[in-house]
Amino acid sequence: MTQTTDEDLVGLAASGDTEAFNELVVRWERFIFMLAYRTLGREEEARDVCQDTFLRAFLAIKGFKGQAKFSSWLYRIALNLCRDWVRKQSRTAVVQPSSDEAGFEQQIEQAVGFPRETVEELIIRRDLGRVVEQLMATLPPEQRTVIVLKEYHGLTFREIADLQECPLSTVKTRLYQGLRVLRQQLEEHGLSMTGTIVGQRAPYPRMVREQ
Amino acid sequence: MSNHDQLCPTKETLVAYAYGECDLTERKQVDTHLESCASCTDELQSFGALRGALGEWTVPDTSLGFRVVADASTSPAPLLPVASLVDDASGSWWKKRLAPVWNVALVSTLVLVVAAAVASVEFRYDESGFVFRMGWAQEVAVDQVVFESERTEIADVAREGTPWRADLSALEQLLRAELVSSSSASGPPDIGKPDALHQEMLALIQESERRQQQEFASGLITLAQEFDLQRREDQLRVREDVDSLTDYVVRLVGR
Repeated sequence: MTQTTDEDLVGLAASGDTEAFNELVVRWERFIFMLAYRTLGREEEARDVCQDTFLRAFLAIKGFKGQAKFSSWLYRIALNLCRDWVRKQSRTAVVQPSSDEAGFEQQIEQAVGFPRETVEELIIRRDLGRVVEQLMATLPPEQRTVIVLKEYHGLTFREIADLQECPLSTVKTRLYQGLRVLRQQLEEHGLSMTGTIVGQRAPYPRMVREQ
Repeated sequence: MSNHDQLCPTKETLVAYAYGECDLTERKQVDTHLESCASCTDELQSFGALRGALGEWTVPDTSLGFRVVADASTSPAPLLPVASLVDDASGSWWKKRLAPVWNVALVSTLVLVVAAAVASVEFRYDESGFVFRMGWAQEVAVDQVVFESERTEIADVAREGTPWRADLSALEQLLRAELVSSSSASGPPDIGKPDALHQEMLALIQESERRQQQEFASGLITLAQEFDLQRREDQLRVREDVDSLTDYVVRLVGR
């Protein structure tokens, strides 16, 4: 049995088939929510971004000519909305640190709401997931986004480069640097990162939807 | 592949290798290199372990269920701010928008409740009949049914506290009167039952009605008495409170 492709559904949706679009929503809403959640670290806001992403996609579906994969297009809309949200939050933050790079990072941390619990406390509770969540929040947004898109959504480097509008090598560098920082921080907290080699045989990406 | 760090692959190549995005030639080169380079092997191993840790970060299982709702005429106002919808100026965003189904239901209920609160709609049924009133509107008796001539002493008692009961009894009596008049005027001609039996039935009905009215009246009187008792008790308590307060003030001033 052949499943209707995203492209088929996009075509139908563009010609006014609301149900076809709803099928696309069903296929992708969870992924968009996960992307927004891992970018913002807030459930409610991630939900709003998710809803807004599909709303915008619906309104603009006629203009979508298949220049990219539908999912990549959704990811782009969602990431833009996340970025807008973070900017808006940092503008409205009560404490406004200087506008240099470190200040901006601090603003993002404030906006995103990290850290809520110290990493030490989480390590004592053996809550590795939350440790990762908090350490990820301290990364520069570009590095964090690359890790999220690669690690949790299984996008190719090419797709990430298109989304971030940067050279392929920059994406790889960001990923490498981000991973190194994470590793270093985990090791500083006493978590050894020596384990089995994963290499290209790894069962990643875990969350890629089969097209 | 660049030629730095004793022919070790670049960090870009290494990361591409770790994620399985090297081309075949590149991969073979890295494979060969790893056989003799402990530091690159360590690096890859630690990335593998790190990725294992990253896999622990899960996302809450939030319910989503968004849907495009095709027809806005039967649904409440758009759920999303206009500002977020300006991407497509030509699009009729108000005709179609996205909303979780439960959200639509919630908002529609909310809209109704708010509308009712704003308009302060009032439904009332009292001695002046059935009344429907809006906050800013004059009182309008939609169906003003008054049976002044039919009212009994029970109705008078009832009027003090619960005027609708008076109407109820009035309605009862009206129905009874109609029954009596129709039976006495035309009777049941089709069936042609004996008049005596008919009279007897009427008497029984009247008897039963009278008994009910008596019970009703006594119930009402008890209620009124209880109410009065409670009122007096409250008055007493208020007076006591006022007295003690006065005492306190007097003592305060005296000091």
